[in-house]
Amino acid sequence: MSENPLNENEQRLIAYFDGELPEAEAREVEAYLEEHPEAVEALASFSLVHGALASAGDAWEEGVDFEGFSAAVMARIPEEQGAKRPADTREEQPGLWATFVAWLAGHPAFAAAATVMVVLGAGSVLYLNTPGSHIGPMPAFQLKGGATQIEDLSFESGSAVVYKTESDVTIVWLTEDDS
Amino acid sequence: MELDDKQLVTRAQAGDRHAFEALVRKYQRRIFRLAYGMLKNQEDAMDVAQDAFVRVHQHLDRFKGDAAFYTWLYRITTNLCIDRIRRNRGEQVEYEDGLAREDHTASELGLRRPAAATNPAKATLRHELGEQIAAALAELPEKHREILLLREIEGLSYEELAQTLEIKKGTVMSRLFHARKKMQAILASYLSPEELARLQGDPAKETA
Repeated sequence: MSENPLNENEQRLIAYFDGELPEAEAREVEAYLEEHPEAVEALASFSLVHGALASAGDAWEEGVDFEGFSAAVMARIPEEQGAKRPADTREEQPGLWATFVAWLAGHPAFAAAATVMVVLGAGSVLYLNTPGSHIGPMPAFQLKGGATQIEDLSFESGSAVVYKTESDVTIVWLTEDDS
Repeated sequence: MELDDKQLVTRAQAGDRHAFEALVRKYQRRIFRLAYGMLKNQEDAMDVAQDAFVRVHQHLDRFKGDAAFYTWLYRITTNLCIDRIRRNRGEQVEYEDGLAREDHTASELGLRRPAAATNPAKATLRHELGEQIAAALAELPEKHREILLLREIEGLSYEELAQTLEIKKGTVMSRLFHARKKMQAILASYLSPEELARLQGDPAKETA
């Protein structure tokens, strides 16, 4: 629902009260006020509201301890943002992920590959592990010619297919069973 | 050298947590006041104020610097407050003992500071007046509440109000005008003539 529009006098009055008028127009309003007590009354009511809220703002803060505020905010940032990071979505797939990690532990040569990229389901990259590289979101990619399948693993909770690309990147494609 | 908002935001966007924390410290009181004025509940206000900063950080990459950082922060805060008000409306039916529960929780969270450093009588009066004004504000529609808080407490200009509330400058003026009129009428029913006189800065009436 839209507000009732103001007439010209009301517009000038409120803009005058809020200090939003140019100097020359403000002088005109002051001259107008001398002859219009009802306008002075309206300004007094604006002033009352301003005084009330200004004093309330201070009162609302009293007794509130802001000492730990910023620390509390900062403590929430990694948690909330981390929850969105693909690397941390592994908690949503504990069965398959845990199984895969256990399998990896038993295959040190594989774990030591220069670059291992783990892809979950329909192509979202779950984990990128390269010495010195980052863990985080990766752009969508497609496997094209040049990637060779080197392993096809089956686990209780899903499967993993391992590819090696021409540039020696090892890619693990994890697929969790629906059941 | 103290960095301005723009510099702090740029650093925060680059991952500098200290820069973002500096922004939190700078605006935490203002955001709390705004949230309290909208919600009339200390615990909710604290919660929403923290949420607002977390939300800002999550979307920091979207902030292009076309408007002031604080107008963006205020907009996120008022939106979160309105969400909370709507959620609370549903909850109020379920929790009839809400007041007792809130007081207990606020105390547990250590939100209240010992009042020893202030004059207890004056502090109590100020606190009561603040509560009455918050109660009066709560009777206003949300759009009137938010514009009054942003103008009268935070001191935003018409231009900044238009940006924050995403409305035209003409709407800012008419909304503010009608909000003040309504608030004045509500205050008259909440406050004594002495309190009203004091707020209008009329010492003669105040002592009469």
